[in-house]
Amino acid sequence: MSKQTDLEFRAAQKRRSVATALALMSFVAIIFVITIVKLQGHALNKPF
Amino acid sequence: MTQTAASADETQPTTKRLAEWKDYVALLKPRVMSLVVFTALSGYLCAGGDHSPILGALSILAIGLGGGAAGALNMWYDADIDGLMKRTQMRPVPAGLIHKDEALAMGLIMSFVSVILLALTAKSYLAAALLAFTIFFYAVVYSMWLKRSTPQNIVIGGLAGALPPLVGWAAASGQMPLNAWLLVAIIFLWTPPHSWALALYKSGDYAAANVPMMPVAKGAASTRLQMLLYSLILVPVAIAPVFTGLGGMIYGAVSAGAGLVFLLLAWRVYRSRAGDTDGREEGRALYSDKAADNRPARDLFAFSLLYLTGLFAALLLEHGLGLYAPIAGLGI
Repeated sequence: MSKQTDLEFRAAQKRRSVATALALMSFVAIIFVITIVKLQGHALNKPF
Repeated sequence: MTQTAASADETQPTTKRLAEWKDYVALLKPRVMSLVVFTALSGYLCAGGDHSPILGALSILAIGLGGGAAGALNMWYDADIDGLMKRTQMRPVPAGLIHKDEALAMGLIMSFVSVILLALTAKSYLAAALLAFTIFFYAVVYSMWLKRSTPQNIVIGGLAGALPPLVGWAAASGQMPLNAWLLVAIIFLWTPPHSWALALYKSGDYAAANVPMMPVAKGAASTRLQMLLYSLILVPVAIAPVFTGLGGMIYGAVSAGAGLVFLLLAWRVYRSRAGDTDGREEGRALYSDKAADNRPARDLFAFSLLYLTGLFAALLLEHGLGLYAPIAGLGI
């Protein structure tokens, strides 16, 4: 594999990693929005 | 014993294709994750109570995420030895598809997210504390310490895999009564015969990676005996929920019937030469033309999965679908 191709591959790998991170964060954000809406301010009012 | 032949960086990259979504799923050990979700859901439903179904679903999701996080952290730490074993060398990190640092980041972020999510959605903070302990136990105590240092690695480390039903139970009720611990005990006692059955016919893999699994460290004959002993304790413990009122008729039938088969298969492994690799194995293979037959170990490994699934599926049917019917005359 030439140096140029290798650099391109690594750049593509990095883009894929960023996309994965964004997808994971979006999923987490949706889940937390549902949770907060469902809890309606009672999130911390519970026993240990 | 902790030294391995390949350094972490030598394990990547060995292939030149971009990681796909299924590689990220593989990083979370989906089969382990599904067992975590399944047993946690059983514990959750057995607990009963008035917990909201939506919060319950989110709690189970959080436990599943926690299981995936622990898997990613394990893959991050074990990348070097995974690359040395045939069974694991195609995992995404040793195969060079996902960088170690990415696996670590994903494991840490998912651990944090799962614990926070469970703290928000569960009945009390106890469940989140238990989940955090479970992830810590699997990633640090088992993966980083026990796995490479003692043949008791999967016995003690098995606690991490045994805790999900307790976490599920605590998520629904905020409590952890005897019945919840009984579910923990079942998985805890199930782990040695299950894992060692695999190790008996994969001992070459573990030896190559210098992992002191029982067949590698103590020999196949000792492993087969210990598997039988654990099975003899496991089966009565798995029937015990019938007497504590947790299991009804369906559970009683499954635990008794499948337990009997489990014992027969464990006895068959004990009487076999499964895992014997050469003449050093107590000198038996040296004087025999017959090659070691690993089929009994393979059969026990396959059935052990069916057995555990059957037990928890019976609880799901009884407590999730309302099919619980106590056996008359039994129960404390």
